[in-house]
Parts: sequence; structure tokens; C-alpha cells
Amino acid sequence: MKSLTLKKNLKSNVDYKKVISKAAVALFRYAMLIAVGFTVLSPLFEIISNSLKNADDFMNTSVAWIPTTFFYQNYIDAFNVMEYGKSFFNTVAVMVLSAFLEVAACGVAAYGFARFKFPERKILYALLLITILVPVRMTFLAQYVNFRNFDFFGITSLIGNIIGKDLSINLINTPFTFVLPSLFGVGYQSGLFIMIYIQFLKGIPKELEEAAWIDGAGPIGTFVRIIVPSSSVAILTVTILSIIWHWNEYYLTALYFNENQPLAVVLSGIMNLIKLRGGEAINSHTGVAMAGCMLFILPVLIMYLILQKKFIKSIDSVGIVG
Amino acid sequence: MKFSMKKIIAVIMMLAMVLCFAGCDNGGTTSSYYEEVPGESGGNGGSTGGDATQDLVTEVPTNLKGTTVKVLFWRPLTNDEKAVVSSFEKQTGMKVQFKFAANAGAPYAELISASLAAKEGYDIAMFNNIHFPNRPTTIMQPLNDMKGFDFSDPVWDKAMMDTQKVNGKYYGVNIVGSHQCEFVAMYFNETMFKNRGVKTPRQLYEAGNWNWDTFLDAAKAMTYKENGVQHYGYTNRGTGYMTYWLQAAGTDFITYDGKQFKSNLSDANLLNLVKYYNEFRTKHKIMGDDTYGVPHFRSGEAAMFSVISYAMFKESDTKFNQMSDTIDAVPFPMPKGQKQVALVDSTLFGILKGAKNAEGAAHFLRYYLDPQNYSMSDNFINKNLEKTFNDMAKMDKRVSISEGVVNGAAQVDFANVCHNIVLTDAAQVTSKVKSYAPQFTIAVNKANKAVK
Repeated sequence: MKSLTLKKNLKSNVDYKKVISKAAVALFRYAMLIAVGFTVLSPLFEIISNSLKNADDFMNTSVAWIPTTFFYQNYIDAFNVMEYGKSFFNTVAVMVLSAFLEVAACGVAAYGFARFKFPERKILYALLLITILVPVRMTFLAQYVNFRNFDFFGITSLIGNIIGKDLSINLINTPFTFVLPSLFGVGYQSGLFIMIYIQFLKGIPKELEEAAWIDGAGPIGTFVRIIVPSSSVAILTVTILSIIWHWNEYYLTALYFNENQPLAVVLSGIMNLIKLRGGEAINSHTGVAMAGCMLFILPVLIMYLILQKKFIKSIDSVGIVG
Repeated sequence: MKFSMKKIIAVIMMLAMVLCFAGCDNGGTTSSYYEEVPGESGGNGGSTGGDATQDLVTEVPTNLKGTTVKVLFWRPLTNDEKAVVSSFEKQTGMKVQFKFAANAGAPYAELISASLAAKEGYDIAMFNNIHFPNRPTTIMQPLNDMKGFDFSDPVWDKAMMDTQKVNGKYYGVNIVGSHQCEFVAMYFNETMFKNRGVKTPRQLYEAGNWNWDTFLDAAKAMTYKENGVQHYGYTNRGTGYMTYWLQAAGTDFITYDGKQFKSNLSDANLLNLVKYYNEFRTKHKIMGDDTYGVPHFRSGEAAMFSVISYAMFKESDTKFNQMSDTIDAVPFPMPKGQKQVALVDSTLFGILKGAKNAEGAAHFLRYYLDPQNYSMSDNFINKNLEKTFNDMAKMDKRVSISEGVVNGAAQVDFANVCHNIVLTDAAQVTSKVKSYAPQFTIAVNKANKAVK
């Protein structure tokens, strides 16, 4: 009798249909998440797996994910073939410096767009959008020519014509090919960063600036003392994105740098380098190339892991999606 | 609020951002040349050690002393090449300046475009069959009447150069047996053949009986299942490389007679050949569905494997020198009764438009490509491979230009086309091949315009 009552109570308290449907939804959700997660992460898993395979593992069709032995020599070979220390320094010296300059310059440009109204604003805004929409492959020739025969507003050629000398400057193979555009807010992906800043700056109350103006601050003073300290979230977002994108950039870098190449360029030509710098002594060319990929992403990965929380928070605040 | 001041500052900031790099052109013209390339031939490196050929150097006019030859290269130089360049500089008093692309694909094409647009005056660039006819006809100069080239010299590999002549003129050069030659060879696992008691391709080749029929017999004999592992008689560099079989039979999807390109998609002979290749997989079952044959050949799952001669060298990423089995190679087989020729992935060096030292560049190429300046034999995995390489260097050459023509028109990707054809059911091969006719016609028309 007692057990019958208990069963009845259980039936009334637990709605099995609901439980089953909830479980099914949860199962489906996890299955989807695992599937999507695997799709996204599988290339990384494959790189890690291949970076630890020796030549025999590559040629053994029964070895898929887990190498028969963990062949760490690939990492040592990749380090040597890529001349990692030198290439790392080149990357930091050029690309990371450019990234920081870009963060500053884009902030200034965005402030102009976000806070000042002037007749040319719409035209300039349209031009800004064009810089985002036009792919680098369409502009690289003009950019290369400009850097090869650098002549700011035609001033040097004007002076050169007067004194009868060719004064054009060759900036190819120098950090200026990235540093100069970044300095003026027209660097790699600058348009997008300006848009991010604009979106964020629009959310800062104007009253803060007006108070600063009443206290006698000019536009630059207001920007430096009020806007910059209030924009740490946007600055962090742009900084991380700028560093990562500059770090990964190899297309323009490959054209501009014939010597002292950054890591991304070295990595893009690693198969040739393995043959030239390692050749017969290298056990597995593919394994070394994959180890090179891991060494390439490692610094950025470490940076991301350190700043992960702040980055996600800042992305939320700035409202970037996709 | 002082709007006027803010306005001025804002406009200055915006103008600085948008216009500073738009207004600083120095009159350099931009080139319309642009192409996407899937990759460049690597060359086999070779190694130096031999003495530089003094006779050649004495032919270099003294007025070239002190001049500079500028070369656009698709990869950094090997140590052996560096030694040859250095030797050339010492003996001639000329300087050779290189600019390298970081990798072999599109960046090399774009490096050429950028250098031309900036009028940097580079003299030498490379093209191979997958860039024909776009690269030579748009950016290279005809070489026949150029000072410094003596085409009566038998050292030039005219058999290879003839395949990519335009209106009777050479646009690129190579030297017979140079380290920049890539021949298509049929590699085979000698140990496997001997274990099965089957005549090796070398035995057949040396007996003058190496052809498609004997290849097929050998492949069938080497197709077997053992300990649950399926062993195939043949595997290819990739399914897309069926053109080797078409070339061997003297045709291709697109052929070039030195004046005009022609699509052969409706040609009965071509369709039969495509079917013949398709039947390796579908009827004879001597070949699996591999898209990349190296691992299967390395693991002993395939007895024969066709790929270019770079795999003959110790430094190659195919690493055949690490195999415990003995490997060997012979020239790619021809249909029965046809003369043995060498199939090549050609690499040709040409003189760029706007070159400032074309004559010096001609002398440099003659020196740089000369195999006598390298001792390549140290680099071969074994003597048999070296012998086959040298045999093929002396043969007549055939090259496939289909990939360059088709990809140059950007309608379809040639490798995908071949892949789709090979993996189609035997009964549908003809319709599959013919379905690409519109895209191939566009490609052929474009190529014909380029060579006019």
C-alpha cells in the first residue's frame, strides 16, 4: 500500500516526458557543440599530431592521430630551419611595433569621426569603408610602387627636379613599409579598427568631454585625458586583434621583405627552407613544417591565454560579432 | 565650443589618414599582369663541387665587367648555387643580385608584377609549363636575337624549349641535364618485384620492352592482397596527374603546335586514353583511390609510382632514401611501338621586359644552368636513378601545357577537372570530359589571343 502511494507521488512529481525531452535537447546540444568544436579544432589537433610524427609515421597509412613515438626532433629542426630567434625579433620589431602604432593612430582618427561633424565627414566615412572592402590584392601594386619610390606628396621629386637629382627613397626591405601606414591610421586592417573605436566612442557620454572643455581642455587634451582612459576596453580589443593580424600577415610582408623576414613569411616558405637548410638530415619535412606552425602560433597563443578573460570581456563591451 | 578649430583638426586628421599614401605616387606605372599560380617547380638543387667552366667565362665581353645582373627567384639559393654564383662573379667581374619570393606560389608572380610596376629593372625570372602562355607572353622578351645567347650551342635544351616557343621565338631557356630539370619517371620498388618473382621495369626497359602493355602486366602481377593489406601495382603522384598518360600517347586535353592552342575534349583518341587511365582503377584495379601516392609507395602498398625526378634526390621530402627496400626508376612508359621520349615539368628562365642588363643575364644563365658547374651525382639516392635521369636528359621532350592554359583563364581548376574525371564511373567518363568543353574553349581562346 505504501509503495503504491510512493509510486503515485513519484508519477505526479516527475514528468517523464519533460525529463526525456530535456535530456534529448541537452544531448543534441552537446552533440552539436562537440561536432562544431571538433570542426574548428581538428586542424589544430592535426598540426599537433603531425608535428610529432617522424617520416615513417607519415608513410604508415595506419597511423592517423597518435604517432608511434613522439618525435620532438621536429621542433628542434623547425627552430633551426626558421632561424627562430632572428625571425621572432624581426616580427616583434616590425609587426608588433606597427600594431601598437596602429592602435594609437586609429584611436585618434576614430575620435575625429565619432565626435566632430563637418561637411566632408560622410565622404571620408565612405572612403574609410572602402579601405575595409577593397582587398589587399587589388592595392598591393600601387603600394609597392609607392614604397619603392617613396615621395611624400611629390615633395622629394620636386626638390630633386630643382637640384637635378633623384631623391626618391626606397623603403622596401625596411620596417617603414608597415610602420608608416600604421602611424597614419592606414595600416593593416586600420579601417576596421577605426570602426570598432567609433562604435565604442559613440557610447561614451558627451557630458564627460563637455566638462573637460569647460575646464579649458582642447580637443587633444580631451582625447588624451578623458577619452583614452575611458576606452581601455576598446583599446585592449584593438590591440589584441591588431597584434594577431599583424603577426599572421604574410602576403604584403613577403613582398616588402626580402631580408630579415618576419616569422609568417619564413613559415610560408618553410618547405623550401627545410630543403635548403636541412635537406638530407631532416627526418620528416612535413613534420618539421607542422612543428614550425606550432612554434609560429605559440607566442600568440600564450598572449591570448594570459589576456583571455579581459579579451572576452572587452569583445562583449565593444560588441564585435563574427 | 570652438567648432572651427575642431573642424580644422578633424579634417586634417581624416585627410592625413586617407590621403597621405594616395598622393605620393612617383609616376611608376602599374602593370596589368597578374596571375594566380598553384606552385612552381622546385628544381632538384644539385650540389657543386666541379670546377667552373673557364671557357664560358672567357666568352663574356669585357664591357660587362662591373655590371649587375638582377634575378627574381622563387626561393632562396642552395649553398651549391651560391658557390656557382660566387664563382661567376669572381671570374667575370660582374655582380649578381637576387630577390627571393618567400614561397613558390602566388607571391612569386606578385613579386614579378610589383618589381615590373616599380621599374626595378630586374633581368631574369622563371616560368614553367603551368605558367604558359601567360607569363612569357606578358612579361618576357623573345630571346632569339638577344645578345649573349648563342642558340647554335648544343648545350641548350631545345627539346624542352621548343615546347614553349611563341611564334618561333624562345622566351625561356634551360640546359640539357641541368639541376633545374624535372623529368617524369616511373619509380618502382625493386625489392617487392624480386620477392614476387616479377620482371622489374628496369629489366623490361633495358631489354627494350618497356611500354604500356608490359607496364600493365607488371602492375597486375604486383596487385595482390597479403596479410589483409591490399597491395596495388601502381599509384600516381595524384589523380590529377593523368596528363602523364595523355602526354605519353602524344596528346593532351589542350595541345599547342607552336602557333595555336587546341582543345581535344571531343577527340575520340583522347577520350579513349582517359578511359584507359580510368580503367586502372575501375577495371584492372591496379590503382586505388589515392589522391597522393607517396605514402603508399613508401609503405610498400604500391609497387610502382610516377612522379617527377625530384624524388631521385636525397634531400627530397619524399625521402625514398629512408626506405629499407631498394627503389629504382625508369622513364615513363610509352604506348607499344612508340619512341621513348621524356615527359617533363619544364622550368625555363627568361629575360624580363625592362631588363637593364639582358646580355649579362644571358651569360649568367649559361653559366648558372650548366650542369658541369655542379656535381649532382653526390645527391642521387643511387646510381640507377642517376642513370635514368641522365638518359631522360638526352631524350626528346614532351610537356603538358593544359594546366597553364586552363588555370590561366580561371574558369575551372585543372587539378579538380582531372580528379573528377578519374573518379567518375567508367561509363560516364566521356560525358564528364565533354561537360568541361565550354570552360576549355574559353581558356583556349584566351591562350590563342596571348600568343598572337
